[in-house]
Amino acid sequence: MPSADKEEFLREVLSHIRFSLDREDIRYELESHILDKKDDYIAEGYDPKEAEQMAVADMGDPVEIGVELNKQHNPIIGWLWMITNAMVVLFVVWHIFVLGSQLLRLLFQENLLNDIPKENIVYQIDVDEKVKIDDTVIHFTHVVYEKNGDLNIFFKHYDTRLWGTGWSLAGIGTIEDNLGNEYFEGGSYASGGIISNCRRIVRNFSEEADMLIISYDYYNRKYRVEIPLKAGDTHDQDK
Amino acid sequence: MTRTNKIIRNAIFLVVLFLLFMWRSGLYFTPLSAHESSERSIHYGPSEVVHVEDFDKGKYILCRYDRWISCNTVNRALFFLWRFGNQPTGFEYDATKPIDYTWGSSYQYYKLYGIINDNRVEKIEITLGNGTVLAQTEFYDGLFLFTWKAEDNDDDFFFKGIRAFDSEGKIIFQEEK
Repeated sequence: MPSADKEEFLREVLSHIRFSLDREDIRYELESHILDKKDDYIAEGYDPKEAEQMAVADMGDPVEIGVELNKQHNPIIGWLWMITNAMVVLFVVWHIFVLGSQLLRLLFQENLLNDIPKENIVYQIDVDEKVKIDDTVIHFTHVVYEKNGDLNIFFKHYDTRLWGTGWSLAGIGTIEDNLGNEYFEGGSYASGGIISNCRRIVRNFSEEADMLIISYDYYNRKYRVEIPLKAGDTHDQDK
Repeated sequence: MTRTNKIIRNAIFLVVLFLLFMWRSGLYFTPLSAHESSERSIHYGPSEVVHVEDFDKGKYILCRYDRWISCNTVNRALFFLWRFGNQPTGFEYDATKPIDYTWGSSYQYYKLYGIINDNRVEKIEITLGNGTVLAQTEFYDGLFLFTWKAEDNDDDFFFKGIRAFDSEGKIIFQEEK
């Protein structure tokens, strides 16, 4: 059974501590001191009850101790500390989630080339053309021509500002061939993320064309990429 | 480490983490920095800001860039920050018309803006579907901007027509939609 003296002492000290979240820790620390001293007195031959009373008396005036501890455990500082701790944890969790998910997406990006069955490919060309508009780099990597007349342009794009945010790439420009045809029909796919893997599908691309021309000319930004194609009589699959 | 020191350490962490959060969330301290970043990321501009106008959600920023006129929107976010709105790119104006303009809306927020090519134009009036007439006689370095808010998504608030007048009230330009 707890001693009334000890409990009274602790109650009196804690009644002066305004930052309630620290009371339990203070109680634990003071109680440990009292019990240590009590053990010392018992070792010296005092009976437990007397030893505890002496240990409590050794602690001093509970009011003085309470007032002094309250100064050290200022509630404003205490709450500020707790709130800023919680905010740091929340922000760190948010960053881990957002940046982590982007890094994972970057590491495990699918290869869009695999979406085209090999038996459908007439020819595949590896390209290494880079263009830059403002902070965006567009890297053309492959061109694949399919038996159904679809020309697939594979490219990646990324922002040169580290993980910059902004509008997504609206388009790579107009698609033409060396025969003067301009192509509008088709579709596109973009994986998104730090480096976005993209595929632009151009429908009914001329079999006879031997040059793909991608040109961008909007709002005083210009580029022109010319990619030689394997056209003519030898439409063999490029292995 | 005392609690005060821990609070200082936390405050430094929070500043760095908050800046990272802003950066990843497309948030900016000022409307103009959001506008400039918006333009650059969509590969437009940098345009010259001619006029800034408040609306419920943020600001309209009327701009001129080479052959284009734009009215970008930036929205208020998290009480004191700013983020992209919509329509950062402009329309290429026809200098042969007395005035050239475009209009659009985002939810119930409408805007019509354009350029005055004929320096006789002293007043521009627009008419909405419900007959409301909005007029402007003060222009912004040769540009004009009308903004209005529909009470609901009613067609009554669509733009119906525009007229430009000279100093004697004679119509110089008129167009109905």
